[in-house]
Amino acid sequence: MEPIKNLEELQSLRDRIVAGRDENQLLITVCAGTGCLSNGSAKVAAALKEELDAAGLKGRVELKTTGCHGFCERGPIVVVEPAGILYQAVGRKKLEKDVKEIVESLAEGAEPVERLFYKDPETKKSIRGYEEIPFYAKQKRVALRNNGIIDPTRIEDFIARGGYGALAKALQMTPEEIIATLKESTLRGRGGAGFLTGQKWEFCRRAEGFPKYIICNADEGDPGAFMDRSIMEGDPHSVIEGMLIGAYAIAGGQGPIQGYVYVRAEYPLAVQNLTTALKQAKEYGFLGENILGTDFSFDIKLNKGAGAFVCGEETALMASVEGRPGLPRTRPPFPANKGLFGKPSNINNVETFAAVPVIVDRGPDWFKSVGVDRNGGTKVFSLVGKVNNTGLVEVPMGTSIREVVFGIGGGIQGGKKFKAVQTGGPSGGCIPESLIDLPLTYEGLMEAGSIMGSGGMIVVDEETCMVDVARYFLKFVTEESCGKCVPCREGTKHMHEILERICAGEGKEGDIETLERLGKAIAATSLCGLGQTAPNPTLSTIKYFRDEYEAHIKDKRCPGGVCKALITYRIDPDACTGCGVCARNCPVEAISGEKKQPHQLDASKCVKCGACREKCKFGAVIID
Amino acid sequence: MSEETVTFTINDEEVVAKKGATILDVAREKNIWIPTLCFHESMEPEGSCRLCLVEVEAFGRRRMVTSCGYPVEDGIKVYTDTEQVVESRKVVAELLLARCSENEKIIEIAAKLGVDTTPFTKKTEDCMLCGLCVQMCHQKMKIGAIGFVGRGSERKVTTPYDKYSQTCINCGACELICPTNAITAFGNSGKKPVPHGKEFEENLATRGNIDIPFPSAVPLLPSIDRENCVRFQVGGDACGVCSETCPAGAIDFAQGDVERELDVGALILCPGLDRYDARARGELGFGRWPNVISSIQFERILSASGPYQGHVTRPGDGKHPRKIAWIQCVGSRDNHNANPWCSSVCCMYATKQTVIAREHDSNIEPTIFYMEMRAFGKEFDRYVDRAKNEYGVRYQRAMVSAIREEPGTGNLVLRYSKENGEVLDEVFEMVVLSVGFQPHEDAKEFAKIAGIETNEYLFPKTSQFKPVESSRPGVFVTGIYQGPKDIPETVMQGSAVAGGAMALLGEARGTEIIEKELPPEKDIVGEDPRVGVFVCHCGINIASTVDVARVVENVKDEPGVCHCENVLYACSQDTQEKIKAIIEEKKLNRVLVASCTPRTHTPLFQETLRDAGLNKYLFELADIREQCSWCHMGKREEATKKATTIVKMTLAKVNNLQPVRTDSVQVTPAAMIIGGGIAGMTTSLALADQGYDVHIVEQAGKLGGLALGVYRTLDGSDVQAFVKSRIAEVEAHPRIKVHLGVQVKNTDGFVGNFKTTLTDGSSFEHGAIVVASGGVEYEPTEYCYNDSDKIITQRELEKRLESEPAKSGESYVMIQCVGSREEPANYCSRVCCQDAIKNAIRIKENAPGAQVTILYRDIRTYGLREDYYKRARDLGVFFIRYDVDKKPEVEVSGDKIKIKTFDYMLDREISMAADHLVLSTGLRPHPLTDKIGKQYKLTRNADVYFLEAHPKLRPVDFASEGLFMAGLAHAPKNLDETVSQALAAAGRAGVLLSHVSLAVSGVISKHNRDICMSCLSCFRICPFDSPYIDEDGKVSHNEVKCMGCGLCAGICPAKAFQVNYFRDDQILAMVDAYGDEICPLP
Repeated sequence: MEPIKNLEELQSLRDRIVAGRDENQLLITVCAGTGCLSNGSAKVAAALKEELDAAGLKGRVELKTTGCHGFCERGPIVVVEPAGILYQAVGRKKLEKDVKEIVESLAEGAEPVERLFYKDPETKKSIRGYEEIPFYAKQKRVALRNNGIIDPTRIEDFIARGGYGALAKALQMTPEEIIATLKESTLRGRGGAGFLTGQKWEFCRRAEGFPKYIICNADEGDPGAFMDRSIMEGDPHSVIEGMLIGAYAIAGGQGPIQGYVYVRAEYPLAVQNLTTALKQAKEYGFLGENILGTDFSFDIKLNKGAGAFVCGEETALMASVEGRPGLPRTRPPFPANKGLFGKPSNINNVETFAAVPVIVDRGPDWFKSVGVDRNGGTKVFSLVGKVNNTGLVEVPMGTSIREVVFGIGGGIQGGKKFKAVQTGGPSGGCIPESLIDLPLTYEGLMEAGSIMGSGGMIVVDEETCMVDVARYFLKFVTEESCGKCVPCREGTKHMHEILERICAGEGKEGDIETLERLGKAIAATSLCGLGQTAPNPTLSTIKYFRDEYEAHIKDKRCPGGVCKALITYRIDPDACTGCGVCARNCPVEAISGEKKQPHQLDASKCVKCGACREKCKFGAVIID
Repeated sequence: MSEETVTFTINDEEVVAKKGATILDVAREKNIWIPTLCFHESMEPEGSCRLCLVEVEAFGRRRMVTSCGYPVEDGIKVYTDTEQVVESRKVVAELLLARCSENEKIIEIAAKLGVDTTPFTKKTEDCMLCGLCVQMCHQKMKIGAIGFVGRGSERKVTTPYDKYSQTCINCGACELICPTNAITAFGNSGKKPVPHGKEFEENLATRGNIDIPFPSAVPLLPSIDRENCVRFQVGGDACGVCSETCPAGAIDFAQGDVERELDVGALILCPGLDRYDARARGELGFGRWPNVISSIQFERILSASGPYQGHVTRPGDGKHPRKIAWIQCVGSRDNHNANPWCSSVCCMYATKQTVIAREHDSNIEPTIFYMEMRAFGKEFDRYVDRAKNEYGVRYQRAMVSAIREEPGTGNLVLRYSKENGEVLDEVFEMVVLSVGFQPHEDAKEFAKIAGIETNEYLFPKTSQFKPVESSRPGVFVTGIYQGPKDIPETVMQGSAVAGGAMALLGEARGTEIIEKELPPEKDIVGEDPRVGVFVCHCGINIASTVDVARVVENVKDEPGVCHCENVLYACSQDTQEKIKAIIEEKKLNRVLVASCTPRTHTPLFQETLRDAGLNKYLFELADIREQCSWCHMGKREEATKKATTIVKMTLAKVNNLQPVRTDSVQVTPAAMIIGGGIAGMTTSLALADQGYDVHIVEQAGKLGGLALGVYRTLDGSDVQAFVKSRIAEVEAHPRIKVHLGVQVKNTDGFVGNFKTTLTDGSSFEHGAIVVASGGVEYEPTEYCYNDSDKIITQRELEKRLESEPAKSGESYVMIQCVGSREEPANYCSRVCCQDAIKNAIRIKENAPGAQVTILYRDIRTYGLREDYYKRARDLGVFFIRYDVDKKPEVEVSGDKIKIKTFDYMLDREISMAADHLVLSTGLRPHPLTDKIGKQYKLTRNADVYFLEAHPKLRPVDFASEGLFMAGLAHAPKNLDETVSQALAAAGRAGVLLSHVSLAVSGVISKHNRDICMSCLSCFRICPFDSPYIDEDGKVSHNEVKCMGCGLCAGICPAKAFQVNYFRDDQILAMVDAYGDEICPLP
């Protein structure tokens, strides 16, 4: 493979690839994102291949695996093109049948397999097309533009969709122009703090010292968040292209610059796809010496992290890359001046880099127009929790929480009541129902006591205990605190201790005030972002759900019915049909009763595991 | 300049600071308190404790930052005490207090922040995980033996896998830097602490890698122990903390050994000896039982500046022992695992230690286990008697065969047998091993380098006649290297070697002197005082207690002060140059330095003044260190006031200082030697060879003295031949004039200028006098000496054996200590044991069939003479001990002499018949001693030997200037010792005579004859006879004799005496100056 030397060669390559493809070619794509893989998509793909071969369709039907579609809740996802039919949950129950029917449906005039369509939970209507599914219809996919469409292991797929075009365009601009474009676009860091990316690049460009470093922070660590993983798995070249543009903007015409991707080793597929992509990019001459015939040279090294949450903090990340323990350090000096190996360094996260090519390609005005004031573009959220459609959703900045939770997420599971949404992971806070129409912007979330963070979004229903939520997140940060600075190490430990106590029914008068005082101090005094934001879940839940805390402490009651020490299970004799399911599922034989007679629950034996309540079809198990 | 400074505000106050400084740096400079724990000047800021948080407003944002690492920038606003800062620090303190609830340092700093309790669950950690130790180990020491493991609350400092660390070098830096004293005993390395024992304290105390070896080291400077210093161990730029923190920048790692070549005419070897390592005697348990110590360790224990401040303490458990045993001859007089010679000093130092121990603690019960008490030195026997009788020291004649520790108590069980064979176990609380001397490990190599021969024990070969000359001409040996000896003999031989070397180098004397050229002294008389005042920081010695800048401020406008400043080190070379320049520039005519101590530093500054053309007495030093900062540590305010007072008082004196002239007197380059024996002749020859005229005054008709009756030395050398050659040399020497058969009639004058008239009327001038008047042999009256010609003295036997060898079958009995070690001559004559052994060996060598029995009290063959004792025993000479209370009984019975004595080993009386009874008679002072003593006002001791100025420090000097002594006139001694002392006297006298003139100190009393009433108060009180009654019958003053002690000035009712530099007006001005100060001395 001869490296591509200029824009024309790139264009002609793209033309060649596109020309070699038939738009009417039958194509089956199987999602091979981690979510679908864990639901068995690899087996589906293998079975489809076998079935296609058996049906003599080899060569006539193209089969390929793609990155994540985001609709992980409904995986494995299989899409049939060009008809644009989306099959969901393929092979979850009946692999052979599903596969067989899908292949059969490919025959001329055959009907698609309706039973594998997505069914709207509200209208109960089956929806055949990708675009018509509300989950997708209401999204705006920019960072995820290629996810689920291209085969991430094939650079040609990426190039066919215009990949590396933005790089070519950027190399014809001056670095200053690129920075101006970025600033104009109001792209802000998608990793948490929301710093203006263009400005960050500008700081680094102005700093003295070489080589400079550009680092992609792929150490996605928030529990439940997986947007960066999906992008790396499904569209690794977009990240590489974004880094290339960034590298050129920071050091183009100045001196040498080296790239690093710091990705956690717990993302093996991301590592694998990135490794492949880097190799391919090098072969095509997008990385290496004299890129696209210019005098700009750049290369990227992959650095696998061991998965410490704190390594997502930029100074800790750099320490880790340098081979030292991943501990943050005080700033100043800022990484832009003294970063990796003491040289000017720039760090952005995966999603940020993935957005860059689009901005260069389509211009800042377009990007800005997608979002709202000072919050240009889109943001990917990982929508999880008690919502019907969990998965990755990408929406324009400024979209309301309601739109995300109800419009895209399809509302709360089991028709229960929405209580709050926790955004920003362990560093974020809880937004209560009263603020459900809050537009998702950096400032908006901050004011509400939470943060954008990397885009975690956990939906919480009425049966969730907010104190327990706070306790959960504090447990996480006490375990993930690096332990370097006193407030984070010691303070979060004491906060967690107090929350444990409250959940155990041993809360004391003044605990809430202590939590508030300590939380504020930790936020104000901690060395790095981890500690500075660690109290957020607690402080925001106290802010919006103080009554729940008080109920725990004063009334020794858990309104969410979660905190075991504060609840008792009881069987409502009126609702109980005496079916005996509860008794059979009770691990400690606490339930007894005659057949077809209301059963009794012996509270002294009950361990409050909730198995009875989960199994009871009649809602007869009640929590007091 | 603006590029290097930044302007910003702290608490709304504008501050200009150096670029690159941190907020903390600037705050400290401005005396704004910011608490810190994890910050250390020599480390990169970690920012982990979060106590130093301040609020900073920059770029429109206001946030909390750690001041330790935040560089100041133009326009920022810093707030160090806002509500949020105070509250945040409090919370941090509460968190720290929760973690380290019992740590004193944390409690202390929390209290400073107003936190005394914590609302959080308490733990009792000491480590607050600041990481300074880890940083120290990695970045400074470049070792990396410890590190952090675990995350969050699991985080801790430890070695890899919590295991013993191979990497740790036990440098202790982690312990040192830990702000909460959490690291003790190197707990993290898994290694047992092995601090360096301080060599001077005999490992009873510890030292660092930078150390001043001992309090009187020369030079008195710390040095780096390269064997252990991390810098040299690890290499590269490891550690270096000392060089970073030394304010004077005095650390130079590049310094090393330098090879130099020197051209010299003589080489003097005095490397001393090593000490026997008692660990070789495993049965005594040294190094195993902590309460078995060496005598040198005990020496340090007794020292007030020692490891236990002079309290007699057991190293094992710090208890004060009551029963202490000393075991003698550890490493001496022993062919097994030890040395065959006698170390000469242990008997006496052990006795001294018991006495001093008792003086420190009267509960102590000392016991000395010994073989023979070798108290052979001048007045030593009396000292031992005092130890026994006055201090209750128990002397147990026995060798201890084993020591074991009593389990649990730390006490020691000593096993020994009495003379009669009875074996005993006795418990002591502490045991002191009296260790002896041995040549250094490299003695062989050392001798090879010097090109000299050694004896079989690696001591240099010398002869009895030339004790300080090695086998190689021009190479001299001295001190214990020459052979084991006590301090007086060592000091004496030190002077002897100087005398010997000076004689060799006589012609070259004065040829290498470079005279310093000084500018003429400025005439400042009549000028108003123009004083320069320099107030010294003395590093931190003064400045950490006294606010020196404020002292300068307080003094600078005082009358007379023309220049006033504070300096980091006033004594440094560059400050001397600076003082000279300022004297020149500001035309100063007096200088005051407020600094450490006049004792060591006044001469330095005086020299600087003299270099600048000022009389050296225009300087005065105000002592604000030893009299102020050191004794008032921690009281900055009061100490600063006191320092100001001291400086002002001194200034008052300085304003009154006047130049003082220093006089000198000529020296007559000649000496008179009283006595023409070996001592007198040796002194004379050495002085004459040095180039001085010598007069020997010998009362007898011929030269030679007592040695004329001695034939052989212990090693068999021919004494007669030696005496004859000495006489010939003396008689042939052009510079020596011998006056035989005369005595001194009288001597006039003073040191350097004597005039002597002899009984024959002749007279001569000389600058020094050496008294070598000798001694005599004791003529016995006891043991039937006069009853039989079979009963003779050793001297008589010696003479007879020269012509009449002993015959086989003859029996000889010798009795020691005849006329010695008993009142009225209760001292050891030192020569008799050797004489007896010398003669016994001669008898046995000539006639192995002859029988020789020596009845002795203690055989005192000290030093290398021990060899002959052993030889005598090997030859079959019998030794039977007797006690002074049970002296042998002698009876003449026909041809035979019957002797009865008590044998302690057989535990009964025995009797024997001998053909010859030989009495070992001692020495007595010469009858002339008393006369000479009176003539020159020289003190004699109770035994009528001359008393030296100081038995240890000035053993050949008389207290009177210009007079020296040598030989038996001083005390009984052997021939080689006499030669040594004679050379020493020549050395001492030579030093005096080498001066063309003697400088007389300027600080002397000045006599105003006009107002003197000749009341004679001064005449009576002066210890130096300087006031005298002149030809007018009035008091005059001989300034040459004056030592400036000031007694006359104090007593003179007319104030006719004034001591230069301490005149009444000067002292009164100081008193007035103090009176002006209302401040009472703290």
